[in-house]
Amino acid sequence: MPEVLQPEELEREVRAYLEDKLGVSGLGREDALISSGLVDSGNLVRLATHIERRAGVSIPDRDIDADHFDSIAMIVDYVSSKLRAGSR
Amino acid sequence: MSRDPLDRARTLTDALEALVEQRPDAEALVFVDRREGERSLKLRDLWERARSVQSGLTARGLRPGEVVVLVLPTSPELIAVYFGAVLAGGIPAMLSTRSHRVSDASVFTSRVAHVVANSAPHSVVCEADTASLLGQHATGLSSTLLLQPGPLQEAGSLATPVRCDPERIATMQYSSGTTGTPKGVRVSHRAVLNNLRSMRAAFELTESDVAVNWIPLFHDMGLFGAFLLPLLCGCKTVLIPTMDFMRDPAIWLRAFDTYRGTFAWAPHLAYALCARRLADEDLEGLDLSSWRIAVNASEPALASTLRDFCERMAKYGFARETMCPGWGLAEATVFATLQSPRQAPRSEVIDREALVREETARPTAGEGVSVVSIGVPIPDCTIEIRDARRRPLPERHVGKVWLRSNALFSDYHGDEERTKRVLVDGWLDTGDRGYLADGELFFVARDKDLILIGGEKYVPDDVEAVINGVPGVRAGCAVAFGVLNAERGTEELAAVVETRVEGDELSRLADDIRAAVSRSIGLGIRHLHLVPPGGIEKTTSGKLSRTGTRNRYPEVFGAGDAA
Repeated sequence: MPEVLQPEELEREVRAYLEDKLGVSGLGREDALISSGLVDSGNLVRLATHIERRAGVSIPDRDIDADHFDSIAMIVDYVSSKLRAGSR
Repeated sequence: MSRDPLDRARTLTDALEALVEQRPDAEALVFVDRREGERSLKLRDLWERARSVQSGLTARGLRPGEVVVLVLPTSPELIAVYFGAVLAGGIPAMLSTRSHRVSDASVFTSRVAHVVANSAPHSVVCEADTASLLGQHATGLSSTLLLQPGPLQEAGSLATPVRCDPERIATMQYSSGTTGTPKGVRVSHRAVLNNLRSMRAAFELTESDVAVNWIPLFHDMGLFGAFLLPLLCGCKTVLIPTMDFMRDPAIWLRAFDTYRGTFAWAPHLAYALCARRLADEDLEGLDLSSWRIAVNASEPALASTLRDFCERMAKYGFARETMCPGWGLAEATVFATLQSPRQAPRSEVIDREALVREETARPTAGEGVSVVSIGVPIPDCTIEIRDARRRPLPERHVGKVWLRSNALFSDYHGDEERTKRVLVDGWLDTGDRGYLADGELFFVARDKDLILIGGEKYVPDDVEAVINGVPGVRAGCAVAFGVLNAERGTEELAAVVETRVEGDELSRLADDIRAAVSRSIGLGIRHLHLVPPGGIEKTTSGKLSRTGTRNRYPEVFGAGDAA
């Protein structure tokens, strides 16, 4: 069972993925990931799946969209609320 | 004779029925997904489910020749409803579910509405969540019958399958990508079966082959290549939902190992992804030595990606000859050329000057343009390279690729003009450009007016229309095009937009443009260049030139296309 990730760790996890896998670094927390073309739909679902594994939450397909994943801040909020809701 | 079912069949119904009679207990279909694991379906069960759907559709008023739109993920339900519609004499048309997009829900629903308006279907078959989405957002669907696959399969009395003439339409394909005018490509039973037989011969398929695929079945490559070809040839047909592959690409390779897979189809992007993005631990212990044919089609292949994939997978038993670039299009049912499964992928470097100035492909030992062979025509296909006046060109001259085969489409639904433009004297104008050398087709450029991202086609006009609707953009002064990212193995969206806005306002305008395109098209603009009036290249007749504009800014978009 993975340990519960704190928001700061989550953010580091997301940034590390963006940098390692997509070569994107130096983003602001609010910078758009999807509309900027930095992250396409394929990379988006893989990012979500990576976070799912690391954070131990279940992220359904229908939530992987621009309403939940368009910035680092949004991803951290979404996953944190999942963790708080205890859907582990 | 093992090949009888497909050889004797005159319609898809014949082919399935004969196969079921021959091997009712064969576990022909296997569905693998990341949460539920494996589900298999015997031919006998598939037949019963399809018969039930047939009766269910007929009981709800479907008449032969009417269209049934399918919006379902890869699943036993999709397969049952597809065949059920065929057995009832209907014309199935598959569309993508919403999970393939990152755009607004309204983009998905308006696409379904466009197709419904174009095809006037008997019904749309979808899951409950899709039905409620369509109910909320889509206008123009109020009078359309929405059916769910579950109840459809609970029919009482079964009717005899409808027998039809082989020239009747078997399936309608809607080109993928954006929301613009949908183009319904209609293919007959005869064409589909002919193309399946040609592919079977080219791939040398036998009943011991095993197909393992994740590509979506709403594309021609998925429907005909990943589903109907292996199934009707008596091969085990393993299908993985596309979303599961996107979330965990290694699931595809693991299934090859588990089922001793022998062939697959995928766009170039998927091979690039597996070559460069998978972690070593995802591949540990894999045995890919049973894999015989990896068709690489639907977007131009790069020699560098083929090499990287083959090198990385070599230690898991993947042979170089397995990688087979190929080419085809929905207007020829699906497939037309394939590089031989007995040789490693072939590419050559040609002289850039000769290509640009004389439109000839002259091999060079120095720097030049690297071109991958997409193989030789499969049986019953003939390729000709022609000039703009439709005169045949000799070898190594670049021109338009024309195709003749016994699997050409019947028409674009309700668009006779468009059909006549591409079907001329029994030949198909494919719109792609290439050359022949020693009988092999080399691809140089596709129709310039398409953007190809991950095997999906996008029409630049649609992107431009969205940009033109953003306040601050100089009306009618936006061009969109694709820029190749060799590392990712696919194109990225780029745009040049004229504006009078200056200074700090520029970055806000850029955000507005990106947001509008992302919402409406489901794509981010990777390269956006805002320029003052006059920054877009125009032709002498005043039309915007996408290629000219792109080439004007090499510092932004890199060196332009050679051809």
